[in-house]
Amino acid sequence: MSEPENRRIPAEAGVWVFVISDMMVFAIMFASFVYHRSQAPELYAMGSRPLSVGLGLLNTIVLLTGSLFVARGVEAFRIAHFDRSRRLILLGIACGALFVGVKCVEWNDAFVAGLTPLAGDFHMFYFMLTGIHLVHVILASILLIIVRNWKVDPARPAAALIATEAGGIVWHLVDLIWIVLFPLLYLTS
Amino acid sequence: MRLLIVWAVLVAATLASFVIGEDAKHQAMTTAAILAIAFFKARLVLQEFMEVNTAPILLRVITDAWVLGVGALLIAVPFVASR
Repeated sequence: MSEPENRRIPAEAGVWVFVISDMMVFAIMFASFVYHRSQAPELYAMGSRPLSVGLGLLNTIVLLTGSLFVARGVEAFRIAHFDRSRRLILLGIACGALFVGVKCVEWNDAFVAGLTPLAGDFHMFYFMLTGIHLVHVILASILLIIVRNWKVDPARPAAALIATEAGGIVWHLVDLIWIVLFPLLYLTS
Repeated sequence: MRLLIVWAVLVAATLASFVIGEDAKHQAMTTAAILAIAFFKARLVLQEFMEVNTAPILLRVITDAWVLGVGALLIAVPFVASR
């Protein structure tokens, strides 16, 4: 297959190896959840009833908005608008923090209602999937903080761009996973 | 501007899946529709935010295979595996 000259891999191939591996691992967890749910739909429907769809929806919008800020931050970095890029990425990090805050409220509500991972199969999946995802949100936010403080070395300007692009891609991965998790847990159980 | 439009489409699709989810009458079909919307959104994030649309063909093939494969699997499982 011939390819146009201007095609390039965003950030670095290594970043994509990580991203695609992570997508595969989540795919297995999604499939496992959907299979187990198909064996006991009433049980899962009952389990998901106490979930706040509103908070899930809010967090979906928060991550999407974070993605917009981060994507625009990368765009700004590319045209050497570094201050603007840093401001936009900071807004992305703020969205990450907001997501974590909303998730804490949600988990707290569940615990107060006596719904722990041992409350049933649905809750086992719910805490496992949202927990692993939450770790991703925190790590992606930390990565963005690191990227934001990356000093542009005039001798090697490409290094900082690759770092910024990599931070953006990992952030969007977290958004991508949540885009599937939200309907699985909140809308269709 | 393009990124803003992508974000608006993603938010609109999210709200649409939420509204569809309110209809409890046709559960199997509603679930399929909501998941189809989710994987449409996933592809949009890959293509536009993660810039797969300007990446080498191989990356586009792999990510599209994930979207189609995982999307079809999650939609099909309840129909095939239910008791």
